[in-house]
Amino acid sequence: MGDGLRRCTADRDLRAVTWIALFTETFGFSFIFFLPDLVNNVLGHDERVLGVVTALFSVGGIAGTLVLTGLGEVRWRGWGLMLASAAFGALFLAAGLSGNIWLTGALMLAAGSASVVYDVFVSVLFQTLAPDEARGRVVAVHGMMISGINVGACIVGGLAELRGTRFALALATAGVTLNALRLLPVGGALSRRSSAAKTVAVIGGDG
Amino acid sequence: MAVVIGALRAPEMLARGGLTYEVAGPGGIVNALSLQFLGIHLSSVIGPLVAGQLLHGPGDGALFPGLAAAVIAGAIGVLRIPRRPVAAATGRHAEA
Repeated sequence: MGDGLRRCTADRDLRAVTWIALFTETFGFSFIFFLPDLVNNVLGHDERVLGVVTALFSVGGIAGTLVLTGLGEVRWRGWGLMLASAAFGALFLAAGLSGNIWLTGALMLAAGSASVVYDVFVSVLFQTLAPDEARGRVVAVHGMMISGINVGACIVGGLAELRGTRFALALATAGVTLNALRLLPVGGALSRRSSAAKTVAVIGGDG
Repeated sequence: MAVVIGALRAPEMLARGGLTYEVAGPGGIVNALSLQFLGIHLSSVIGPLVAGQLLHGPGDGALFPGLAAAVIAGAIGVLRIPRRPVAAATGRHAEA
């Protein structure tokens, strides 16, 4: 794990992807933990509405994967990652601030699509930017970032106790968007390097 | 059991990602991962429906054998992927 972290911090492109993963997983995806509180206590709806809103997030995810699969091997992977992360944070921010449950539902649908675009591109970039001999260790860092969802939930939860759910969610999701916008200039370099990856770790043998 | 499942989830995710990259190669990785996430999202919709039917019918005792059968079926599918020598260990590389 130490070697994977060293590689992720030493390489400028991998460092950018790691920062995006850290912020999006920790402060973006932890939003899901607070959805029941948002729907029930802030917007004043029952569990049936919560079920619909949660389902809309999944439907958005399915729609996003279908669109991505239809697009084939896209080359704008770096731009896609940055924009998906920025959109993901912005959509969650708007959903958290919305006073209308149906607008929240529509925003969750769109956030579901953005989340899956982020998920695909962050996985693709970790895989393609990692050197062959250290791919497992670099991808393990991504796995560690995914575990950050629980850490993020604790941080955002603590903040929600102090300043309210809406304030905590707004701060967390705005952080996701601002971090992605900060790293947007690296998007072009990430796209070029990822699309140029040719080496594969397997040779010979047809089974 | 929850601890064991949790501990196995992380290596499973890493192995799945690595295997996907080796099978699809850098030229097909976006499509392969998109399909993988499509499968995950579809199963997150279908899975609870099936689990609900099992709970309503045979009861919660049938859920775990059903889950185990699904995992074993997945493992058998993975074992059918042809084995190939890994180039990284020898320093040799092939291009996709």
